[in-house]
Amino acid sequence: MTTVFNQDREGKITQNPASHGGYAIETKGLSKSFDKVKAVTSLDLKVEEGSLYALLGPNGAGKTTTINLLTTLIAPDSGLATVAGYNVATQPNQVRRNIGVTFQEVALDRNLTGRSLLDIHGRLYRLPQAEIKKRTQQLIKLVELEDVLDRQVKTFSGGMKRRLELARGLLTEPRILFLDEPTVGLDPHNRERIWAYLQELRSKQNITIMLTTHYLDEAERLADKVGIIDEGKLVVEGSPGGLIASLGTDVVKLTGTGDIARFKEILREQEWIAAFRVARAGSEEETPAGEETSGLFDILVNLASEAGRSVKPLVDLAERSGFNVEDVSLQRPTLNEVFFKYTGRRLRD
Amino acid sequence: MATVVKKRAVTTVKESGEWSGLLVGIYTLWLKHMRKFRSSPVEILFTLATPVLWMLLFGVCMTGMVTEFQGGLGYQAFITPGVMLLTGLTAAILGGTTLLLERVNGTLKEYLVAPIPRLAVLLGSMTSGLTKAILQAIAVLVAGCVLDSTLVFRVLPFLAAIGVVALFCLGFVGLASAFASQAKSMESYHSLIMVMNLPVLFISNALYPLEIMPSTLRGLALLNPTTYAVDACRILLFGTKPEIGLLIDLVVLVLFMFGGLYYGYRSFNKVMQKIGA
Ligand SMILES: Nc1ncnc2c1ncn2[C@@H]1O[C@H](COP(=O)(O)OP(=O)(O)OP(=O)(O)O)[C@@H](O)[C@H]1O
Ligand SMILES: [Mg+2]
Repeated sequence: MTTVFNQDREGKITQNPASHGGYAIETKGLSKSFDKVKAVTSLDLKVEEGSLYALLGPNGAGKTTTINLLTTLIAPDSGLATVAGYNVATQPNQVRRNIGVTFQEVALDRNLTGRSLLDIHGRLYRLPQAEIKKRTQQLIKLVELEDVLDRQVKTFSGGMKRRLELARGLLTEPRILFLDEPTVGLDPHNRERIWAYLQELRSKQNITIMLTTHYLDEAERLADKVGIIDEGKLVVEGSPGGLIASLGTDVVKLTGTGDIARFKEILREQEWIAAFRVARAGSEEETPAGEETSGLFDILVNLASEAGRSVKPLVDLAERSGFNVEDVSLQRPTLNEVFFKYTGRRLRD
Repeated sequence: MATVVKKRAVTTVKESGEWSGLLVGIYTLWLKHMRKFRSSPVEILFTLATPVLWMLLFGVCMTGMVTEFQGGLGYQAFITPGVMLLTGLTAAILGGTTLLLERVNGTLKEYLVAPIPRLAVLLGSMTSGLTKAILQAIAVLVAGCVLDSTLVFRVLPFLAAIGVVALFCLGFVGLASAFASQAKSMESYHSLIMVMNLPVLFISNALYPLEIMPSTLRGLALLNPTTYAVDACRILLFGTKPEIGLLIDLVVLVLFMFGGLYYGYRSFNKVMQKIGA
């Protein structure tokens, strides 16, 4: 009896898109495994309507699988997911009508021309011909493909294909747009343009965007909310600013040589130091304890309070502990640090 | 949170409005395949080259050796139905390649997240495969008329023969789709086709009448749908004495068509289910 009741309640939430709680995407306990690999494990996400949500995570974290589940490409093993208020498992068609997708890997028919490809896409969504033509014209200007539109896709460069895919995803003016690593392989100019366009798009219409990315600067600049996933689980979620703030304040980097073991002892005793780690100079990879023998090291210190008043004490402390400081630099923490803190891995961008 | 996810059947068409979605989907994908076909003369040439070579080389050589068939039928006219069916078969199988290629290179994903039933993806590639098959069968028939004066163009018999080609090709379109859904790679699909193509032609009455075959071969030929299709085409086109009989031919071909289509549908479904969609 209880299960039936539960299902009923969930059914009601999903069957009435107008009255759901303002979430464009919502998942509860969403799981999917491939044979023995648990790609997504009990994922709970809430993406507010009109927001831009960035999924971050190392390779194999389950980002693409999450997108595939939400776009109805594959079905979940268990758990619930609603997109635009519709259940992905039981109402895939309604979901599909409301979304636009670009996949991580290029999925374009190589033997069609760009124009024909967009035309076919529009027809699948039953857009009238005039509308397809009009939007093609607009979008193609945006992604700067006017000159190559009538060429076969196989003659496009990688970045051109990427931009054509983006235009295709936007052609149907979806309420929710899923972009799996949209700016991979784009040159800085085109990356900037796509960012600018996504922001413009959001300011003009109430579109919700979920994207995955490895570029932390991208997430930091674009996203209202960031979710970091690792091994199929959501590790932490929040606004980029909030996540960065949660790390404490600034990071002070001390570069130098000396008795690292002793310095670490002393650092641990200080209350005004939130966290620190030791890395061989320039490597950013944490050096395991005991291997810090000789050479130049970076010591990255997260201060518990404003950096302004603590840099001098920190340098003094180092000198007193037998660590010869050669250089001091201040870093504002980025999502990179957040990412590192929660996954123990570092992304390069 | 023990939520139960209802496994939805991949290709059920139940919601209202789904039927129009199905039709839109089939038409759009058909259109796409035809556009690609039109813009790739190589594919057209390639599929036409084999049968035309058959007609020219094999037909011309054999004409000298074979004394005339019943009713003054020339040898090129005699093999026209078989070659026509072979062409259709090749086209049907190339249609399967399309499905396989799109599955392997990821293009299919676009259609799987579009608001069309998944069945439309299968039927879109099946109908375009069939269209190509029929266009090419017509080309062979025309070539037959040109090459051999004993094959005379008449509207109704020609249409009927094309109908037979359609039944035959649909069966193979189904089989091709089944293999294309399951094949691990392009290579395995191609080797399968190489193996299938020749016996389909040789172990049948396409190139020689059933009565002159050794009895074991004749037995095997009777298991080959080509035999029935060839027989039906000859009866319809030339009014020759049936080797089997039009009614039996048609029954066998219709059964073959449904069998092939069902097998294709089932395999496609199974693959879709496996990706859990
Ligand atoms: N079709 C599949 N069959 C088997 N395993 C799969 C399949 N798809 C994904 N996986 C596995 O699921 C896990 C998550 O993969 P996923 O593609 O979602 O990662 P990702 O976060 O998108 O990684 P990346 O940053 O490299 O794109 C990986 O371990 C992957 O090997
Ligand atoms: Mg991925």
